[in-house]
Amino acid sequence: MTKNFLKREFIGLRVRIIEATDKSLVGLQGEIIDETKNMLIIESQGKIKKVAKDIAKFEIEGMIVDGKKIKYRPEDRIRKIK
Amino acid sequence: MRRERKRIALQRIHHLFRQAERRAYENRLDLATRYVVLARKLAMRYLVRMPREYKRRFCKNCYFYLVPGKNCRVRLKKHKVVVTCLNCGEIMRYPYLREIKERRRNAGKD
Repeated sequence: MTKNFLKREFIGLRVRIIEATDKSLVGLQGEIIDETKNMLIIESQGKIKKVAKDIAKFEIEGMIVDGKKIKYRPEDRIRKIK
Repeated sequence: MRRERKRIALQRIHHLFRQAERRAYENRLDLATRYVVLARKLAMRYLVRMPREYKRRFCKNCYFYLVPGKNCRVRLKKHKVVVTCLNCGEIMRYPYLREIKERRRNAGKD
């Protein structure tokens, strides 16, 4: 169930940062507009924020996702997540 | 397992094109084009055929998301649909032989 969620497309989904090594990022809310291997690109109140995946814990559409577990290219996520 | 992967990939392709369409309406074609590229990567990696309804929605050369009347020109020339991408100038021609043949058959009946 959760595993399948990690294989879904993240673009267009709502996201909130729960934890991060950089405290100023915590609480950032917005929509995922792009994804690369190491980053989620989030649009929040008209501003574009690039957040590294492995430094944060995200809440995507109510599901809590550890950034370290999704550190793959978006098209690799289907295959590499075990 | 492989079938499961294909299912997810196809689902994601549909999702990406829905998002691309939304972005195109918002006039953010750069993002729409990025989503087309991502969808194509999924299709190629997991050997999923690009669904028919999306095949003509992007330029075959530069993968630009095409909106007729905005960044592509659609004309009927010599029994073909000719689509010109106004971003890179690529010309795509789609024949419509089936429709022509059908019309001929129906003309014979009357």
